Amino acid sequence: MGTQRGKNKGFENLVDGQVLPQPAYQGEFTEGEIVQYYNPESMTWAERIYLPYVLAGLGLTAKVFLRNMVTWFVWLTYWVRGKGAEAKRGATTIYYPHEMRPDFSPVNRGKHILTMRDNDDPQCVACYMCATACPAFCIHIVAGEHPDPAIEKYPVRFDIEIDKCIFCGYCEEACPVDAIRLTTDVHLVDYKRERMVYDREYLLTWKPTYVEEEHVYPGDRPRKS
Amino acid sequence: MDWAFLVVAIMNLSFVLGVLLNLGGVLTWVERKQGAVMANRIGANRAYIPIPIPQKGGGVKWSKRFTVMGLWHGIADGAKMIMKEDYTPPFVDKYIYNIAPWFAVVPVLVTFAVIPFGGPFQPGIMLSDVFGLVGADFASEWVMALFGERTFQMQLADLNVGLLFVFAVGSTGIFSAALAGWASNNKYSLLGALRSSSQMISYEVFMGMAILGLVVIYGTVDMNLIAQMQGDVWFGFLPKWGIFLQPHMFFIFMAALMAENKRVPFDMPEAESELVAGYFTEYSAMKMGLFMMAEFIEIAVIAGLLTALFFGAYHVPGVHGAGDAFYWAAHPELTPGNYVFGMEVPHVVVVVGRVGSFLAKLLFFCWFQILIRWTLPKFRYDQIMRLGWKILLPLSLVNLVLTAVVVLLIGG
Repeated sequence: MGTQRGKNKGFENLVDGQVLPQPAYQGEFTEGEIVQYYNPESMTWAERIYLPYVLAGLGLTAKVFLRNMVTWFVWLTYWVRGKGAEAKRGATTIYYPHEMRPDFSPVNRGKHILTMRDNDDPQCVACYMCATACPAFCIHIVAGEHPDPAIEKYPVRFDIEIDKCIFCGYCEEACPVDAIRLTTDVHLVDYKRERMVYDREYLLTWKPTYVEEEHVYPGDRPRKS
Repeated sequence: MDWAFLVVAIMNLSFVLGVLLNLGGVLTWVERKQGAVMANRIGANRAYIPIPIPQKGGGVKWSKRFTVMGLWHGIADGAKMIMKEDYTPPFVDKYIYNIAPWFAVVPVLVTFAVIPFGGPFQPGIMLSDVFGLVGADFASEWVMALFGERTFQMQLADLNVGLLFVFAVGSTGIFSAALAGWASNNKYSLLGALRSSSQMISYEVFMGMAILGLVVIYGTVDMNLIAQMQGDVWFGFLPKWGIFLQPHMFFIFMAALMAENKRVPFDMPEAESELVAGYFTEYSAMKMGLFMMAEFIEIAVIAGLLTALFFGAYHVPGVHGAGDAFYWAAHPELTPGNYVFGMEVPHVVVVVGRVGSFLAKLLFFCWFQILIRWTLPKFRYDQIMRLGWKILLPLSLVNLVLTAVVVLLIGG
């Protein structure tokens, strides 16, 4: 008997060929039916000698290979004329982060920046509106008194825990002075959790997290934590 | 001393070693890239050779864009394996452990010695033509004095037991896996060695059986003669290649050869998902690299064997060289000479075209093997054994008997 695969679960202990005394399940067996506890041989002769299906599989992969190679060579004729971006490529790969997907939204909400006044001070008046509106509680502000009485307050510290942020954009909407904005920068990765807290100075630099010319990968960026 | 023979032998040797060793490296790139293209991917393309670019404001910026479609990955692999620590575990049998990788590489390289890769050629006539073309008459006279009009074979060793030599040397490849696994003193290695021994011995049996049909038809095991016999045509258009004599045996022979190479779908001995790396689990650095190198060179050797036995070796239909003794003997009405579809050409055209044709066929079968490697899933161990002993071996035997009967009936 061995370990035959039971067609019917729960009846593994029955002997093959045993006649059931009564129906086991409603609709499973009728009385007197001979039970088979193994699947019938389902492979055809052609399947068992492998070769026809091996050839069919090879044909399929060879077709994909040749199609992609032809596509690459057509692309090459465009590329030598400097128009490589116009032609179709033989691979669906996108060289992230060197290039973004064409359907990447131009109004995508990503990394925050703090806007500045003319003298490079933050526009922010530390009113806590964004921190209050934040559903993820990831904005932490410490207010200080600004020397200019017309401004009243300014943020001594302005920390965004970017790993908690859900990029809802409520802070942007809540801000009365247009001090916080969300850019489309999405390369928000790092090797340390501590560095995922973006401080005031970093938010004020507006520096993109990935710069193509520097060939710096996200997470490798030099930044004082 | 026969200086002409020595010079030709050195030319052949450098050609074969240059092609084989370079293919061993290039095929690692082909394997990666072809697998990528088959799966709509781009593949390995990050290894680069840094190029210094002076900047306008002074200083130098190192460009990382010189990647040549990832071709440096093979060099990076080799450099890595040579520079890694060559660690010998303390529990292994040192002597056998160290000698086992060479049993993998040497048989593979030696097997190619009997494969005819360019056919008969007359270096004196060929080189003096070339030198005459560029106006170096003294060189023409010199090569004519050295070679005369002698005909040499583009084959390292023109053995009359060629095919037997292939099997004899090929079976020593089993020692590499068996010794490596046994000397490693590791359960994974031992299991891999056992599997590889049984698999390779099983598949060697009908590798010989499968090719015996062709041997019966050709009536010789001399690879050079087998290659020469494939230079003719039937009915004026069909080349007399082995594939048209025994097309079914081609698949069986190739399956056996691929099983000998221990690659997917016959990668039981290594079976990364089951046995870590099989018989070379305990190997590191270039010793492991030798196993890998042997594997990739064997792809080229298998392709060479298939080409020589089934696809007319170096022959192109309609092209006949002055040295094709077999062809001119079979056609006494023709004048020996160098012809491309009846048009007389210089000897060098025929020789270069034939070497090119052999290389093209060889590369095609390398491509085909890598296509198989990226298409088929791994066999289960019992499936491999059943396929070998219960299906392929009887088929080979039946084919041998039928072929012998037919050859007897129609009188060879």
